[in-house]
Amino acid sequence: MRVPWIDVDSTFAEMDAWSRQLEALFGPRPDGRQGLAAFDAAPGLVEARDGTTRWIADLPGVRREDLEVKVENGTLVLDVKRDTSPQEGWTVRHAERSPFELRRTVRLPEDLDVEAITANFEHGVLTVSLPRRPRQTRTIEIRHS
Amino acid sequence: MEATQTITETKNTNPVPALPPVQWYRPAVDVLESREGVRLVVDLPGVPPDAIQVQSENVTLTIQGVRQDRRLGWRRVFTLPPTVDSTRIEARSENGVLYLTLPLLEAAKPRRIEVR
Repeated sequence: MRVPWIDVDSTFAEMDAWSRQLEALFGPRPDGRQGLAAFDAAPGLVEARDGTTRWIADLPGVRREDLEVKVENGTLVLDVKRDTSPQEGWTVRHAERSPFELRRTVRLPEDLDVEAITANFEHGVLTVSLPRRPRQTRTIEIRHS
Repeated sequence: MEATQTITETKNTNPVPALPPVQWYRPAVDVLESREGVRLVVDLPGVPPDAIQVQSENVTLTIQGVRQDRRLGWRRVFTLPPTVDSTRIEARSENGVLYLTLPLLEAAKPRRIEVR
């Protein structure tokens, strides 16, 4: 069984157009649902809060050294692979976990603070935080003649 | 984390999630076999090792873990074959994957009979 896309709660209601683009990156899944959950058993989420978009992907069993996140020419690149082959001496009798090796890219919006992007990988969950630069508004004074 | 023989409430040192999980999901599992026993490999992304509960009672083995980052829980129940020793379950967790090794009972291990 694959975990379905989880439409959590109002936290994610703030999702903006760009987030949807980020979400659409992973395209339709075999079960017809849209979402980041291209990975095996991985509910993916794009969460926007306080001007920061968080891209969350479940990558259980991925070793830290097999995971790379980088920004190249305004594009976010994720390279990841997972090996599910058993240790020597063990034979697979039943397999639901699949190996993968993939690259995902997404064009970052102009107002993203590239220097402030952070990535965290904990207990098999990757969270990439993509903060926006604060919008600069300048009010033009209207003079009376 | 230690496997318990009977159903007990496992102490969780992490802050208790404010709300119970909205939904339980079945995690993906691989079942491996060797001469020594059976190994279950369970994807439990987002669950820290000390928040994983493994309980065995008679022939039933329950694995469950609640994610700390979302109101979501993983839960799956297995029926153990009579050949495994459920009192000697070894558990290890790494990168969001639980590895449970269930050794075969001595009597169930393959044995080579020497022919004289």
